[in-house]
Amino acid sequence: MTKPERWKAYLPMLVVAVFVAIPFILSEATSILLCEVFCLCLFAVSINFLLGYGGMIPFGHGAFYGVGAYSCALMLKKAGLPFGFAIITAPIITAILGLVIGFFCTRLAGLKFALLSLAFGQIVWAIIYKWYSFTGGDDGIIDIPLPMFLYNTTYSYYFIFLVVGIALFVLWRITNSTFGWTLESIRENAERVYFIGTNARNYQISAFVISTFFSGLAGALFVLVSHNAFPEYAFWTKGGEGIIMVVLGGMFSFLGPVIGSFVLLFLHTFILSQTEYWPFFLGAMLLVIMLFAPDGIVGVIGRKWAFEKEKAN
Amino acid sequence: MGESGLLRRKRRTEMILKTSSLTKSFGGLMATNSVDLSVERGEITAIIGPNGAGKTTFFNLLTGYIKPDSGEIDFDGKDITGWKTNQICLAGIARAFQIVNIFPRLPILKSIQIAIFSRDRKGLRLFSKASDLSKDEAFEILASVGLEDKAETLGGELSQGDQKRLEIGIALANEPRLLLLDEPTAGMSSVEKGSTVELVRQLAQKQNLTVLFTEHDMDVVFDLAEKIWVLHQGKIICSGNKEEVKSSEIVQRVYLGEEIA
Repeated sequence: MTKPERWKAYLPMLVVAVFVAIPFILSEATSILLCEVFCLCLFAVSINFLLGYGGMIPFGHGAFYGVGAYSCALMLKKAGLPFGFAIITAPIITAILGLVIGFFCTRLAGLKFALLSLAFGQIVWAIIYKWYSFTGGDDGIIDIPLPMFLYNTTYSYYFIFLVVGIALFVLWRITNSTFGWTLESIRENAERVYFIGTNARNYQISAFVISTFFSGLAGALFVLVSHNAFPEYAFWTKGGEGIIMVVLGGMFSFLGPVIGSFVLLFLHTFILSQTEYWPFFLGAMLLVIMLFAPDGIVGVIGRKWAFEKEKAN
Repeated sequence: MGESGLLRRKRRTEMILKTSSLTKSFGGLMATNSVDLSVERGEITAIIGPNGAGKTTFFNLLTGYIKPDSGEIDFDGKDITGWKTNQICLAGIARAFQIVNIFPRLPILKSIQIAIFSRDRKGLRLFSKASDLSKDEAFEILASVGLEDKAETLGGELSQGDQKRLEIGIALANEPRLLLLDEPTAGMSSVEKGSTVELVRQLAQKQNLTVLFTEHDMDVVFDLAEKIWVLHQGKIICSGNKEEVKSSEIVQRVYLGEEIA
């Protein structure tokens, strides 16, 4: 009984050590890919905060990733503001937009919520896409000036790793707080929550704001990887990609989307290097997950774990 | 029932709940028709009536789930008419539902803890660690409804009877002064019914709770209730203790007839 628990305690340290060592071991291309994975990982976890914990399906969340990226990009490129200011303000701007959109979306539940969030998301995308004088329209914003150290892949890798690590820790704390627990009870039965004395909708709006804050942070960090910002970042398929990561890794668990994002991006890179039929493999993979493991990769591992434990007892 | 007359008379002056001319109609149907009802502090009171008499509507009005067309609800000296459900709950009225209405995929200890956070207004703390908070109290509540050895079971995996107990447990976590039970023994076996009756009686005694419940099973009603109100087509047609209700002609005619005789 004690052995696996001790092993579990050392696991996070081991994972951190591996990630710190990677720039020295693997190629620069891998480091850059991992930077992208970190950003999408944070994005997927922020989506799962709404989806797995809050029971809300945010189909339009790509918009917040895009707004995070564009706020950061515009502050750096057009306003010439300092980098530190931009990276902190971008998620705050995103969260303010999240408050407005979340206020309306949380009036509805289920599929209606999903569709309304999609509608809002597409409006945001259309504004970015068409407002040439401000956002550059479909040309996007290119060659965004960054502090010197971020042009070095290794430093940039560590910076993104650190920020995403802190963000994930904060989100993890929130999911284990009284707020996170109450949010789970709202997912289970929002109506009943009013009868224990809690205004569920205020919690749903708060969760939406928290989620969009971290989605915006993820988008802003991605600017450091791509050095550009394009309207696609805000397109609904970006949010769809995040939801696929969540489903693949497993919702209802904090680690699910983390694992989902790593698996998806590495498979994507690997399969594209072998064949051009990536969507075919993605579809097949999702089919298998939905049919045989609706609780995702984490669910499968968890069940295996429980099974082994039972056998051992 | 073995109380001194003095205590009874003293309590009679204290009404914890009072509705006056409470009215609600759905289209042409008068679901609640000018109901004047009062509940004494510390007493177990039943509302009975045939199907569709308006019992659940009345509970929905009391808990703010629907708004009355007219009339007033007075709870413990406060006019709570038009308050929101969550405000009414925090004011001290908790409700257990007729159709089980719990958190199916949460462990039941966690469900109780969440209800305690809500009562203590601690739900919005983003960085507090929830797992150990109020755990002992939640255990006590589970024990008081007889579920302490199932603390880690998911709500949805409990038996029907245990889910009803969990309903009551979640309601108790709010430390209500008035507990509303909507058909607490519906769908139970006669053994489960007996233990639920015993449970409610104990809770009322130990925690000094006022209980207002609806029920179809007349044995349960006459066993448990100290006072009975009879609702028919949204109207109160009779009230009193069980002898008075049993002997009331109008009650016999509209409702009890064959069951009592």
